[in-house]
Amino acid sequence: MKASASKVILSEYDSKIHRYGRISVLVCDALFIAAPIAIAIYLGAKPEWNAFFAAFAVVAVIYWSSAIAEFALYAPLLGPGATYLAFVTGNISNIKLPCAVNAQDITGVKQGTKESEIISTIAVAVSAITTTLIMSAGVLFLALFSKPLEDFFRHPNVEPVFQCILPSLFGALCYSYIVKKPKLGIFPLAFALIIFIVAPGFANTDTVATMIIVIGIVSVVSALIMYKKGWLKPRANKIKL
Amino acid sequence: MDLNSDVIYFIASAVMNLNSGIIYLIAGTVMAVVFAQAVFFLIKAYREGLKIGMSKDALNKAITSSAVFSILPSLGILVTMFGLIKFLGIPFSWLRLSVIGSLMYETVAADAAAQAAAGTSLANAQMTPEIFVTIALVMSVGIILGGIVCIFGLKKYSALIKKARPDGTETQNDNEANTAPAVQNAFNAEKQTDITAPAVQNALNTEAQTDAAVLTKPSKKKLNVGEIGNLISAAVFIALCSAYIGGAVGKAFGGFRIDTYTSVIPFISMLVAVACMAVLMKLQKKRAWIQSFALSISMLVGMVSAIPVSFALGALFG
Repeated sequence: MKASASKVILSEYDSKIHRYGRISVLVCDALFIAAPIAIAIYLGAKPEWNAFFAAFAVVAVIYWSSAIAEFALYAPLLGPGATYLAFVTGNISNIKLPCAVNAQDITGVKQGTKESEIISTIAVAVSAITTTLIMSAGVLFLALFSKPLEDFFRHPNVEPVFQCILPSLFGALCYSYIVKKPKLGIFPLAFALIIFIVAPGFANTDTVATMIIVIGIVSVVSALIMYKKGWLKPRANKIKL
Repeated sequence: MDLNSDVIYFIASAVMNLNSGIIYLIAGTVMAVVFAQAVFFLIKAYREGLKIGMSKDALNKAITSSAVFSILPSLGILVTMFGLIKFLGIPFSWLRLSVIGSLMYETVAADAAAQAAAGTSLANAQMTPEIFVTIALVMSVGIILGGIVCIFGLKKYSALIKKARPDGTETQNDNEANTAPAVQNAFNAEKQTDITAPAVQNALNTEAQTDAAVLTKPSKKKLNVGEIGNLISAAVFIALCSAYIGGAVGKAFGGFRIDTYTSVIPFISMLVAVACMAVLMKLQKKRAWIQSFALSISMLVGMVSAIPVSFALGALFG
């Protein structure tokens, strides 16, 4: 009895999440477009439409395809609640997704369960709140101490720190993940290393994001092949032997 | 900061005030709504977690670790903002980098728009109100597709995922989730195409079977599909890590040569972070509290190591 009751609550929760998610994403997206329009009205300036469409075409080619790929790849990892939030609050691959996976890991929830969806929703929400607060504090600071603050961050020995955020983050995260599933790491890591060493042009921040998709395909295909060949279950084989 | 951009900043400020109170108000309003959305989802998820019997401890752990984790990458975004502020003013840069978009996206989009509107890169563009508005609009419209895809596709896609991963429709400690009454209720509550579709499908498939049969007959085929779903998720995540790791290695040793000593710094700090993580993972077996902060600490140690490393490399090769 108890179990069936909780099942009903779960589906109610799910449909609620989708309803609130859709409404809030719609409202936020509308606001994102309204903001520059409001600024245009305030400045009394019209956008240069030819330039707009030319630039928009460039941006769309680069980012619309990756937006769809990101959606397809990340939604299963995050679950619906976190996905709605992540696609409004942004910075998915560099903050939200690692944050959610880390939280799932720490709390020990099994991926794909209701629990993991709740944990990742909490993680993405808290992450978005944290980022917004830090950015706002930064803006406040900037208004007060713009010169010394920028000078500090742009100091030649301090500036490299900020180029090290993502390598440090993903190095540490990858280690903690690969220790548990070492075989899954072999092909994507080897492929990524070869690509980036042979063609270092891909190592710019914006092309790395595009390369995630290519490496993702290599990783998934190699994982499926290994799974099919039974290479991912060494322990079971050992018991049989 | 070069002299050139200072001059342009001066020109931009003279032509129009991109840091006026009105633009702050516009940006602040949008951000307040996004912030409220995050708080709303946080409360919803937290309550639902308690409802299905998750411990407060686990939920709070997710909150603290996520907050601590997000601090450092957010500082990275803040630094990107300093770069944009010169050209786009404080409030609009604040808005663009706080919500939606990303570190990598904003600079590229702004630059593409500047190229088209002003015929030159963002750094050299003579910012007029028209060019600014064009850049702002490109940055905003260019990024909303992700949201639109969510609005139209996420509900169906989630149902598809759950179908492929049957454990996704259950909770970890709730193995009886597929009992017929529940499915019937779900059927009443939702349309067939909705999120409960897999459950409804089960109900249709097993209509003739008894509850007991449903419970004692876990479908072998479906279990494999679920396993594959989780495998793909893990593979995608490892690919994400690999891309950034490969990027750091490529920057350091791309083309089998080292350009400048500074290009090796991210690679070294990555190694430091990995070493730190390895140590912390050993330690956390004895001290459980470390687990919540292991990633944040490793990231911090890796990043901060860049300062002495850049000093040392500068002294040796600079």
